[in-house]
Amino acid sequence: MNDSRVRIHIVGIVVTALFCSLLARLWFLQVRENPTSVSISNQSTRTIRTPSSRGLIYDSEGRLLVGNRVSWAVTADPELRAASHTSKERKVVPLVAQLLKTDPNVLTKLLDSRQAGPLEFVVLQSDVSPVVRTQLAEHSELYPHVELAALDQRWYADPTLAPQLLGYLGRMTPDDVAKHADYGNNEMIGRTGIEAVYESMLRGTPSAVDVAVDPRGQVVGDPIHTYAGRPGYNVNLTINGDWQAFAQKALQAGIDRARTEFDEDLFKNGGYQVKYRATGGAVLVLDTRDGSVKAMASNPGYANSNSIGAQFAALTSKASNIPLLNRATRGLYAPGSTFKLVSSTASVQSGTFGEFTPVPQDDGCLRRGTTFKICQPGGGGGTVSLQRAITISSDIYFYKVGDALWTRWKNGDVQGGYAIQNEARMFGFGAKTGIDIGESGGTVPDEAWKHRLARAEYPNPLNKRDQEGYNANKGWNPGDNIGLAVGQGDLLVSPLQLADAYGALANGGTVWRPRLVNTITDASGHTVANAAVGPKARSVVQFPATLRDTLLAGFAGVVSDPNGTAYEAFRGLPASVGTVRGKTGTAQFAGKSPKPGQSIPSCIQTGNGALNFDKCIGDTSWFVSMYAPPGTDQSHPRYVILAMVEQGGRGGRIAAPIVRQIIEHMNGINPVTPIPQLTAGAGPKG
Amino acid sequence: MAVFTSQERRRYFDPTANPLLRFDWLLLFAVGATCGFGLTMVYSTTRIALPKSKGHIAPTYYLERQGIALVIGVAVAALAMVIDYRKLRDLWPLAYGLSLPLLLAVRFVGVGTGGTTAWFNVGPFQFQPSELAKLVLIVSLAGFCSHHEGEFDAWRLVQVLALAGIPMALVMLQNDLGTMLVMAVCAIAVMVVAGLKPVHLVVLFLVTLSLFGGLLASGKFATYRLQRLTSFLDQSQTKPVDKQTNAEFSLQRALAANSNGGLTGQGLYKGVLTNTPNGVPAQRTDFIFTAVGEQLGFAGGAVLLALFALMVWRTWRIAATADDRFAQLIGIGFVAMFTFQIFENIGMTMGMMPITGIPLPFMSYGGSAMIAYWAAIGLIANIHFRRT
Repeated sequence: MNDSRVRIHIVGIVVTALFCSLLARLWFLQVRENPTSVSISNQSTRTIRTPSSRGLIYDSEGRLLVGNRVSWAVTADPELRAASHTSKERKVVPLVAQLLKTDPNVLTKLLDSRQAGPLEFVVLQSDVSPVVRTQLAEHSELYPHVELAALDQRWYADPTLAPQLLGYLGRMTPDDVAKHADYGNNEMIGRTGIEAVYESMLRGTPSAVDVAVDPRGQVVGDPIHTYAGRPGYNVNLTINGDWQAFAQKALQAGIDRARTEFDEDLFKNGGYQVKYRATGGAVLVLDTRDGSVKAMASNPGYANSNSIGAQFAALTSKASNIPLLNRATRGLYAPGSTFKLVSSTASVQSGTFGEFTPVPQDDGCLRRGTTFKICQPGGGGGTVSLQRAITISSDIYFYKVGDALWTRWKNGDVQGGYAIQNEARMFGFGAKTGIDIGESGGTVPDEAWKHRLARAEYPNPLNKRDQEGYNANKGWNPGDNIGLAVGQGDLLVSPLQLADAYGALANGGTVWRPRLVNTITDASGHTVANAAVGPKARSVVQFPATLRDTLLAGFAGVVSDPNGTAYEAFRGLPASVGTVRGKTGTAQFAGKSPKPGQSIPSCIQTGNGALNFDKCIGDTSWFVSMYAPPGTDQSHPRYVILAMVEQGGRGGRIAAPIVRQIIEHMNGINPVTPIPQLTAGAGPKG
Repeated sequence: MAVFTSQERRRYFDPTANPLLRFDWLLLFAVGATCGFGLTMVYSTTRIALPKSKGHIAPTYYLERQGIALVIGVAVAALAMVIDYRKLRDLWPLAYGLSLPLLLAVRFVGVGTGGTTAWFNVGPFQFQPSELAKLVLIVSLAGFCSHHEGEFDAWRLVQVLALAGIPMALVMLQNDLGTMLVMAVCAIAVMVVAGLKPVHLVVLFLVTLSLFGGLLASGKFATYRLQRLTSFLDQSQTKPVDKQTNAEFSLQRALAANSNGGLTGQGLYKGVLTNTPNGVPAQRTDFIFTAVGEQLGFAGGAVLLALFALMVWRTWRIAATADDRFAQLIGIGFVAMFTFQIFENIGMTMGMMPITGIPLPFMSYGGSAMIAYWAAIGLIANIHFRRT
């Protein structure tokens, strides 16, 4: 053997020796010596839940509105959170900050935040890049107490679509944990809208594992028991996503237009050029056959997201007009002339005026004694019967209805005198409609209500001043009932209630519970039995045929008669789209004409030489239509389409054109008719 | 069944007629079985998808990635077999020259982890150039030494030291002590077989020792590394957990895990310390042997050692029977590389060696290493294949 072969064999011998020593050491360590085996004692078990994927939300046409997506997040465990700033554990913080390209102080703040409970993980950064993911997964040992987590997040087909209706999710708070024992600390829970109401359906059943944990709470070994979960059920809405999107767009267009126009009342009473504030609005499309809501828009809107909770303050601030408020269900307004549907029915049913009774308009004013006088805008003249009174929106006609009924009440016929109130309740006003999501019930005022209100304002019966105030304000006066007859005064309704009431006229009398959910289905598409979502009648309003025909004719005239209050708004709409009937409403706020002896409207405040218009509230602009598409029963309109703009001016000017746009869109007319710009002071009142 | 002498066998099975017979199937078996073993243990240590928080990466995340690396590695090995290894004798300066900028660049554009900056981000994967540099260094040293036949004098020693020193210095610049040590061991093994004089070896040893001592004395040696290097000397396990350094903690957990194994282990997937994210640190990478030790016990550990021994023996045998000096030196370099990594890695989990970040070949999770070792196996098979 030459030298190099010797050397090779030397290497071989060294290698053999090393292998032998390894084997020997292994033998001694594992078999021979085997020091007290360090197993982890005192194991206890704990259940770890993993939420199942949340149910999806579809529209009536099967379009996915809300889905799920995975967001990769970097989280820190409770140990790191509990460790002191100078501890060994916290040394990882600058390293993680470098990885996440953020300031270590930001991470420290997150770790120290007490928002999450002591056993919870805290998310340091969500939606991290693949590079960060790779780095963390490949070198996890260098980032102790820090780990990747796949957070289930909501995905929105269009984040701005019906955000108030769909609602949002929020992470569990300590309060929630106390209320929902079966939820994990880091879980998301529906906070508002459909997400909240159908939480139990959407959530499904979490999968769970029982694991052994050591005394430090750390998981040891394999799961002891595994429980399979079930994904959440899908919710199929009655909402048509396309109509919804368009309704929001039309509503925005109406609001934008209103904001360019001058408040008519202030312009007429002194030439003040104050633009409408148009602080918000709502649009509803209801199917009158079963109460299905086809579209429900509330303006201002916002973009839904997984971290909407962080914007809570901005979304509920007055300055931004409270975008979180679903004005369609929770907003309460005076309905103005749109309420004449109820007054008309009450008038005929109580025998006050028949369908064809001619009622003189006098000079447009109603007087009682020497002190009470109320006048309709635009003066009087001639006589009107019910159909005409609706078409031209005669106020004096309904003043007289309210007045006559009050007299009846005063003379002891309490039930007969409350005909409007009783009819209003039959139409569903003054009570919640029972829709799936949160809503307001509104107010139908009567004497008892006024007593309660006065008592609330002047609470102490033993206090002389209080008792005097109570006595002065508790009375049910003629003006109260007269205001009620034209939808003013203390009457408050939600847009949803109003739409539902018109639905009853359209379908022949049934007041449906408005419904948002068609079906609830499991992951394989089978319908899950759920009685709560089906159609349900709340009450039935009796409409004798003559009354119903007269009302429908009156509402048709609003749109088709040249003197109708929405004639201008619908002029030129092709007959091929079917039949449109409707009613405008302009709910007024007092104080926009000067009081006797004053030179300027009383709502205007003077100070520092400048005029302040803050107390001058613009009128609520309403239009409620009953729309029968072509090819359907024209005498039973299939849809109610309602538009309402707060502080937007007259109903015929802003709300009615919004409804026209929606009807055009439903019929594929593109582009839709723009909302007209009018000069201040022009056009009929309504 | 007929019994053939080795000569008869050669005559009967004409190697030129059937090249498959020139393939070292034992080597392939050893490597393949080790890889299978490795995948099992990587899966075992990473499959626990227990949600510490809400979500978690998939249980097969690491298994899949290691699998991808294995497939790429086998492909690279096949490629390394196709080209005649003798071509490398002339091409090594090119490979050597290319490896240096890579090693340098990773210091600046690579990503760092706890004091080490050794990875390039390549899409969803990370590439560690120092793994490749080990191979390049071995081939380069073999090329240089086989090219300059004759006496291995002091001048030759300086040249070889310079050749090995540059990449080692660059690796040290990445703070990657483990890889640097592997390179040093490979260089010494190649030099020894290439004819390094015993007196030079002694001098080399003394110089290294004094350099190391000087470095320690100067205090410029990172504390964490010193702790890692010395922690294995004190295995009293008396310190409370929160007072231990990371190295002490690692070692204590590793020893505990190995001890837990006993003769036959706790059972696959049933490790108390190696089937939980909170047991032995770096279970899937540097400390993967503890998973074998705990879950499969002495039996499993011995089988793995046997597979490694088989692999190293076949490599050594190929080096010993190689036709030319270049092939011989490459083979010895790889023998040194595998042996040192195996000894150091398994040794550290049993408290015999200081704790350094050296992967266990074909076992530890890590794509760059897996591919590099397969390339080495391909090269060795290449040498065996082209024997005359």
